[in-house]
Amino acid sequence: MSEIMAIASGTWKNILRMKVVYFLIFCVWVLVGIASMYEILTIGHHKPLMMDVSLVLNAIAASLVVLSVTFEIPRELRQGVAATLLTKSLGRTQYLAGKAVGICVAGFVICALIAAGSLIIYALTFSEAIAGPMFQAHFLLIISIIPMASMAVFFATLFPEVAAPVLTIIAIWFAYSTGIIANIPVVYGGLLPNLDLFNFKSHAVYLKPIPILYMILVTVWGIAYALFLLMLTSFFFKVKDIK
Amino acid sequence: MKKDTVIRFMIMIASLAVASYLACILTPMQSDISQEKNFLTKAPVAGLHKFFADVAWMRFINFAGGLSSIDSTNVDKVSRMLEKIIAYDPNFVESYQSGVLSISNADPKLAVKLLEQACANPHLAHNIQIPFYAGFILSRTIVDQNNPDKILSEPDYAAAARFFRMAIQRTRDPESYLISNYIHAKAKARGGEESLAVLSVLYDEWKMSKAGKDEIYSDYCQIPDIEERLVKATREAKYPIDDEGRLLKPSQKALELIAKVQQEILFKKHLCENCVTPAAPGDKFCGTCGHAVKTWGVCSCGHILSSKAYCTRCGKKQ
Repeated sequence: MSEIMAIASGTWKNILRMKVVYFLIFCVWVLVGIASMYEILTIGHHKPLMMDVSLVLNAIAASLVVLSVTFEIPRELRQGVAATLLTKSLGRTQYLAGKAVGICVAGFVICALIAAGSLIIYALTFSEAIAGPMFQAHFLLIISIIPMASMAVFFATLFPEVAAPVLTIIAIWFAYSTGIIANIPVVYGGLLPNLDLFNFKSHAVYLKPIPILYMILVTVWGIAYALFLLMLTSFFFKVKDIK
Repeated sequence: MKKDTVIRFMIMIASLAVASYLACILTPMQSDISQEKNFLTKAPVAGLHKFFADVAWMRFINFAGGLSSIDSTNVDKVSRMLEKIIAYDPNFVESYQSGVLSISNADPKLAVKLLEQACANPHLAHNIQIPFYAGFILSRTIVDQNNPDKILSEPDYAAAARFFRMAIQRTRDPESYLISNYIHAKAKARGGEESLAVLSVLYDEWKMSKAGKDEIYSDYCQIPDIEERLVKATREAKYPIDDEGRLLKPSQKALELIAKVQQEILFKKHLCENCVTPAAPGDKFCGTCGHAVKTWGVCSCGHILSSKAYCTRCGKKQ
């Protein structure tokens, strides 16, 4: 466990140490605040627009954070950093788990900062209390980082630096766009990821509460799916030749 | 096989089983919580439906705002934009209340179709305006603005009455305009003399309101001031006027129905039999038409009674 946390802390510290991350968070807050100026252009629909913008930008931020691992793992494998690490007492599965945990923690911190800032901006702009569904929608979005991180680790392990981020973003895009195949739950949500289970953006806008039981179950699903994908990745990683 | 591999394999299978099991529970659960997901477009937009609806809404406002009017030359494009917004977010109230209404003169059929879809949306189940707009469009003759000889939509009063009734059923305290539109649409759907049809509609509604709980009428809705409306409708049926305001003679059918209404419903209202105006306590003749009325509200001592329990002159209990 300590090995996993050592890898994880290295990963999240690398990301959270970058000043550009905080500059981007600030930019997101500015964009969220700008949505309040769309009152005339939307004929008074600027309030839902601000909530939408905050959720969409947070979702993009979450995707970008998990994408960072798709650059990091192939780079470490190419440069031999991973090989050096793996010569120590560290197992390959622990390395993957550490990367996934690290990216999750970094994602949680960044997305939580964006969510908190956006909700404060919303409350100050409209002099309104922040409703529960707004918190819930942001919370589920943050939790969706868990399966997304495992997907990123999966592609980062199997593919080179160029292909891994592209494939990860395509996979995330389609995991959110389940459409009609979402009605085959064993496949979608079992073998294939169904990130749409975390998508409650419209609930934040229309202030429709999400049952706590659902939130608990979907969090468990996220962890279970991430575990499945990490274990599957570890089988491929085990046989991978690392120079 | 190594022990480590077996453990990892078992964890993988167990977590896959848990994820699959939870997906089986969560998918229908999510459909229940977010019922609008069943109406959403299947286009792969990565769950950003609401945001795309906002963007499409701004594009619609920009486009429609630049047009001098929405008519047959541009309605197809405007309609497509609206359908796109609704496909992304079926709960987008403004797109119905401002958007769909803007195409009602150019493409009334599509406007009604979109409003009807909105009426079936559980999220908008308490919205009164949407069914009202649908009924409003259906109860009018709409002609092409560029070609007044071309009729785009003929009134369908039966369908309009259905929508007006839906609007009334969605509120505990329906506005007067909703009830008037409902009664007139239903009356026009029946055809014939309008004042008689209105009275007959109100009489039927009154009968349904008095029916037992076991008797369920699909075309019934609660009209709060039905007796006041019946008084007015009786008067109008007794003294019908034509389009130019000339007084007409009521038909035999109308007189029969008026007599029935007065006998069954309005007998407690102390109305003048001639002009259907309420008579005040102690009146011997109608103050409006001078016709003799049945005197009421007078104590045996001759004092006109107020609404109190005892006569204020002789103290007799009333």
